[in-house]
Amino acid sequence: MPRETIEAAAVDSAGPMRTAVTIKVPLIRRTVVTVVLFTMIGALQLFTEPMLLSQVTPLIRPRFTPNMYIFDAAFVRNNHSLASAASVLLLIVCCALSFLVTRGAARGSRPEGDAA
Amino acid sequence: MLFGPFLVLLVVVFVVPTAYSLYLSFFSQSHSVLGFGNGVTSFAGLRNYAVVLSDPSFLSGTGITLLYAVLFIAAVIVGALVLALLFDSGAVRMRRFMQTVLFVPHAVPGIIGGVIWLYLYTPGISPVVKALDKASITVNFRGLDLVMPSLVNIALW
Repeated sequence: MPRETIEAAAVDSAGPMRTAVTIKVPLIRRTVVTVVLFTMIGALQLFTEPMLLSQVTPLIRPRFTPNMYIFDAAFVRNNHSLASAASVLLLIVCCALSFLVTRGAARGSRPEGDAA
Repeated sequence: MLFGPFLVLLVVVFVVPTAYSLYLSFFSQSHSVLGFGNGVTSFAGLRNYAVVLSDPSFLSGTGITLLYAVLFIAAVIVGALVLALLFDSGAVRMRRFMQTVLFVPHAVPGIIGGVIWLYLYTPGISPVVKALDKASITVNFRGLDLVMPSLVNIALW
């Protein structure tokens, strides 16, 4: 993060709160988008937490999330083909959503570049 | 050349399993009634996909995961941004030390953290539930309303 920009903000009498929101956040935008992307891919593969919670609450059934569905298909019902098909579908969903996130981020940053 | 190790790993842990599962997904195995032998593998085309897509539990699972993703991403991004900006603005004393403290939870594997949270959610043995009871607040972390926030919390902490 360039110190000059922060100093310029201070010179222009921007408080620390304002500096943080209007200067620093746009500066680290790309990083934030990458974090969103990785977090999303991780979140779509939700498995460990519901698997653990399913032991204590009937609300979480064995096929609560797609990854649990795959696990159930492959290792409980022993239907590997079905599990494969579900995995491929999950992969497609992941790819599609990643594409949307990167597209949306690229579109969001364009006006900013024009203004500068 | 420098991409070599990366490519090897990519092929071994991603491309090969994906291709194999793509291949598997087009076949179906049927066993004899008694389940002896290796069963018969036959080409199934897109039938497996049709079964998955018409399974309400898969569809509701996808919906649940998307809801979870929205909650989780929002919480992660906002939380991380606020913390990072606080650290950067110099509002935190003993910055180095606090950064280390912030990192410590990463040393606990996710599954162990999950088990600990499970214990904190269970009425009767959980100090959290007990303390809230004393303050005459009754919560059921595993109930219908809170099951999703509970999940997000386990992943988030």
